[in-house]
Formats: sequence, structure tokens, C-alpha cells
Amino acid sequence: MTPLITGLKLWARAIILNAVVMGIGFIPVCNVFAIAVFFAILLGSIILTCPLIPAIGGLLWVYARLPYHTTDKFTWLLFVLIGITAGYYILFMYLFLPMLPAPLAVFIYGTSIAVAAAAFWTKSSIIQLNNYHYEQHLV
Amino acid sequence: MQNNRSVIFIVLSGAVLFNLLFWQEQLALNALLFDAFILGTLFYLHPAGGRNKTVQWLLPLHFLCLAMVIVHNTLLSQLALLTTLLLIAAFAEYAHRSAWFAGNSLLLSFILFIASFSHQVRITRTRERKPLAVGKFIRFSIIPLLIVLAFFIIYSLANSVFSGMVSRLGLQLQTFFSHLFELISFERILFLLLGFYFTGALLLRTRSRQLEQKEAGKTDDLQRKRKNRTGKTGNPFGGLTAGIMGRLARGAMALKNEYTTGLISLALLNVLLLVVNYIDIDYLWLHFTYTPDINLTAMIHEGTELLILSLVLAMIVLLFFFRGNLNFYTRNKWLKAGAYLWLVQNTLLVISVLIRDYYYIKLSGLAYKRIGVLFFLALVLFGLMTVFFKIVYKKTTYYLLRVNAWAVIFLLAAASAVDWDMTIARYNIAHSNKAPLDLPFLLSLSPRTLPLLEQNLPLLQQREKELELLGQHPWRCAGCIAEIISNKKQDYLHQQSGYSWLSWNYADEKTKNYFIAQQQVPGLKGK
Repeated sequence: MTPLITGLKLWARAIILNAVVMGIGFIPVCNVFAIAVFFAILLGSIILTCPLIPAIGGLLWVYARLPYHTTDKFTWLLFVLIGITAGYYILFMYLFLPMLPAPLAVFIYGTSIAVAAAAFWTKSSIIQLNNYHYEQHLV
Repeated sequence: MQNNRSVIFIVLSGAVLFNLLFWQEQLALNALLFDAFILGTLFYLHPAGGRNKTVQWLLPLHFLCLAMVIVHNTLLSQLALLTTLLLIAAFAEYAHRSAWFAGNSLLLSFILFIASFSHQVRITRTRERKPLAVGKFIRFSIIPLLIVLAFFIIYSLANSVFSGMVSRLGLQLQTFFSHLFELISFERILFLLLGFYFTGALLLRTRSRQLEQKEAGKTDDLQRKRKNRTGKTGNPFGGLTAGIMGRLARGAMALKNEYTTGLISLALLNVLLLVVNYIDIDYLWLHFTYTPDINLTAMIHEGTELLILSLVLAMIVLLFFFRGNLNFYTRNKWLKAGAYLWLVQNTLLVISVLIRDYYYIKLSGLAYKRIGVLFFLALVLFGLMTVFFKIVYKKTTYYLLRVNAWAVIFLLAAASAVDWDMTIARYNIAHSNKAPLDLPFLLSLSPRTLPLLEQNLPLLQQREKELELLGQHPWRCAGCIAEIISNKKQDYLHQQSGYSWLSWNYADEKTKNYFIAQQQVPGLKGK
């Protein structure tokens, strides 16, 4: 159990959930082709957000070392993860798009919800990582 | 720390107060009210903080900055106010001596605020009652909601009657939310969250004691360290010297070899600096006369920047050689002499930079950077003095950084006592016969200088004509400086009319009164 593996798990779940949420959102526009949109978003997310894996791993490394109760640490982790995701989104769009798209807030909200849901989905692994680190430093 | 329920109440109250005081206002009288709240609650939550010596002498400095915000309301005074407030909070909450460590602890407070606040909430909740099963409810509802949402969209697309029902319902909801957002704007909610984060991070300390423990191990006085078998002293520079000097950095003669390297380096640096100082003294101190063919900007800008860099590097060089056991080497007399000479020569260099800056101000007038150089030189002089003390009294780098950080903070607070924009405008206008006026720069200063500019309008118009005759056009229209000043005045008054009594400050009040007295501002009296 390492921060990087847990981080990878969290990242993978976040992009799957994000693609599902976005896919559902595209049903009114694309009908059955929303499935294609789902796969496109999934592939795009993998390529675009892979630089975040080490960042998430680093965050989990810090998380395991914080002198707080697991619940407090998890709340902190959720907040920072959402902050990083929103920041990454804005930075990416600012750098590569000529102007920020109008529904930017909708994208950020959608992804933030997906990230939060992925964190809850991976909660047991995160707590396991925390306990593992705690036991390692008991001696 | 007081009981958890009151902590939560204080942080939430602080967020609301922040929102009420600062929303669409400038930092002025409202800073006094918020400051009273923050300091009151800070000493209530951390009673030991009030007895801390550093906090006790930081408080007058902070009040000076606060007074300057209300009197001058400059950006510098606002920055100084924020810096001193953050430092008071850091020293009240943590056991530190150095501003560096205190700053880092406060940074940690800001990073970990959510965890600290969650800690307070969790303890309160576990004390009061069992947590509600809200979390369980949310978990059970996520998957069904997602499935229902997907089918809801499909049915609404497939069935036109259902779609009509949905769109009517959507319209009703849209009207409801638009009315709701008219009452509470999204930006205001974000501002409330900012206030919550700022107040909370300022008042709650983290549970980490790592930095306090680290600083507790630091001392002002240098102690001789015995090298271990690998030749390591734990100094970060140790590896660098060992890497360059190889086996000369190890063994019984290591210290002597390091001494020889230091002595040669300082001797060569002294000779080099002697040549530079000789040129400066001969040319700049004794025989400098300005002629138009001298590119003053290049000479002063480039020269000053490089000399400043060399002064900083000089201090780093001395810190490198006097970082450890060379301080205790019995035959280090010549190395110390070389270091003192190097310090004296660097002081001469400071004077040379000062003279350059003096000529620049004399021939081109005052500007932010030129004033900044004066402050920087004051800090460098202080830095050189502390390096001298470090060598004489065998002090640590920690001491040097600690003392110099206080010098920066003290100077920042002192600098906030002056309205620099007004000083620059006044000086440049008074010396316009010697230093030609830089009109675009003058008009870029604070709007509070507008009355002064208006009083000297004939002088500015004359300068504008001179520039136009030289083929230089500071702005698109010709001969329109009066119009530009008038537009700036209107913009300023329009901006001021949007503020309430919370943004009151003496400087703006004086400026507004000047314009009212001139009866140039219809409708302002009502504000």
C-alpha cells in the first residue's frame, strides 16, 4: 500500500465518474451518441489529467503524515483535491484555449462532484494507507 | 485554546463580519473594526499569546501600520498592516523566535485550516450528540440518483407531454433561482467563504509542532561540531566542499585546507573589489560631472542592479566560509582580517550605489524603484553589520536570518508611515527645473495626487508642449493633459461614491473635500 497506488486508484475512479456524469449530461444533445461522448471524455481525461497522478500521490503522502484524526484528514484531502482539480482545469483552459468557455463553472462543478465521489469510493483504501503509515511509525 | 463550540462560533462570526465590512469596500476604517475583532478573539483563544514578548512589541508596530492605513491609505501601509497582523497571530499561537519560522507556521495554518476546523467541529459533535445518518443517506442515494437522472433525460426526450411538464417545471425553478440569486449573489457567497477561510486560518493553530520543535533546536551562538567518520557535519554546504576538494576535505588537515581555500578566495576577491572601488571613488565620488552624452539610465540601472547582486553574493560568500568550524580554528586571524576588509569594501560599494541613486534622483526625479534602492541599501548595510557581528561573536546563520528578517519588518512598517506617491509628486514638481517631469509616470500615481497636479497645471502643460515640440507624444491627443486630469478626477469621484463610511480614510476625505471646495463635484455632498 503506497500513496502512489492509492492515488492511481483515486484518479482512475475520478475520471470514470467524470465521464459518466458528462456522458449523462450529453444525452439531450447527442442521444445515443452520448455513449461515444462518454468514451471520448474518458480517453481525453486519461491523457489530460495523467500529470495529476504524482500530485495526488504526493497529497496522499502528506495526508498520511498529518497529525490529525482520520476524519479531519479526509475532509482536508477532499478540499485540496477539489481545489487542485478546479485549479488544473482553469490553468489548462487558460493556457490552451483562446478564451475561457462559458460553461466553465458547470465543468468545474461536475468534475468536483466526480472527484469528491471518487474520494468517498476510495475512502477505505485511503484509511488503509493512513493505518499502514501509523503502524510503520509506532515502533 | 478555549472550548470548541466558542471557537466555531468565533470563526463563523469572523466570516460574517469580514463579509459585512469588506464587501465592495476598500481597506480603511473597516480594517480597524476587523482588527479589533481579530486581536480580541486571538487573545481570548490563545491567552498565553498576549504575554509573549515578541507579540508585545509587535503590537505598537501593528497599530502604527493601522493608523497609517487610516491616514495615508497607501498600498504599502495595507501590506504592512497585513504582515504585522499575520506575524502577531503566528507569534501568539506558536512558540517561535524567528519571523521565518513563525511565517512558515502560519503558512501551515492556512494550508491545514480545513483539517483544524474539521477537528473542532468533530469534537463538538461527538461531545454533544451522535452524528446524524446524513452521510449514510447520501451514500445510498448517489447510485439511484444517477440511474434515475439518466432515465429521466431519456423519457423527457422520448415523450413530448412529459417533456412539456418538465420544461414548465424547469421554468418555475429558473424563476425561483434567479430571484434567489438577486438576493444573494454567487460572488458574495465566495467572498463569505474567503472571509471564513482567512479568519479561521488566522485564529486556529495547527496540531503540528514540527516547526516549533525544529526552531527549539536552533541557537544564536555557534557551537563547534565534531565531524563523524564520514566527515559529515550535517551542514548543507558540507557535501559541496567535499565534492569539489575531494580528499583534501577529509582527514586531520581538512580544516586547514578549508582555511587556505577561504584565505585565497578572500584575498583575490578583496583585490578585485579594490579595483572596482578605486574606479568608483575616482570617477563617481570625486570627478563625476554629468554631460548629456552619458547614458545615465544604463549606467545607473544596470550598474545598480549588478552591484546589488554582488552585495548579496558577498554576504553568501562570507556565510559559506564562516558557516562552521573555521570560526573556531585558532589560526584564523588572517581569514577574519580578509573578511573584515571585504565587509569594509562592500560598505564602500554600498556608498557607490547610493551615489549613483542620488545622481539618478537629482537628474531624473523620484520614482518607486529609486526609493526602493535606498531602502534596499539600508537593509544591505544592516546585513553587512550583522555579518560582522556573526564573525566576531561566532553567531549562527539562524541568528543572521532572524535579525535581518526583523530589520525588513521594521523597515516595512517605517516605510508605511510615508505617503510615497504624494512625496514623489511634490518632489518632482518642486525640482522640475533640474529634473524634467515624466508626465505619464506622474499621472500614473495615486488619484490623491490629483489636487497637487491640478494646482500645478500650467507647469504640466508647459512640459507637455516641450515634449510635443521634441516630437514626443505622451498620449494620443495633443495638449489634453487638463482633460486627462479631469477625467481621472471624475473616475476617482465615481469610485469613491460607491464606498460607504467603512472605507473612510483621511487621505481620501481630504482629496474629496478639496474637490467639493472647488465646487467641481455636483452631488458629492450627499455622500
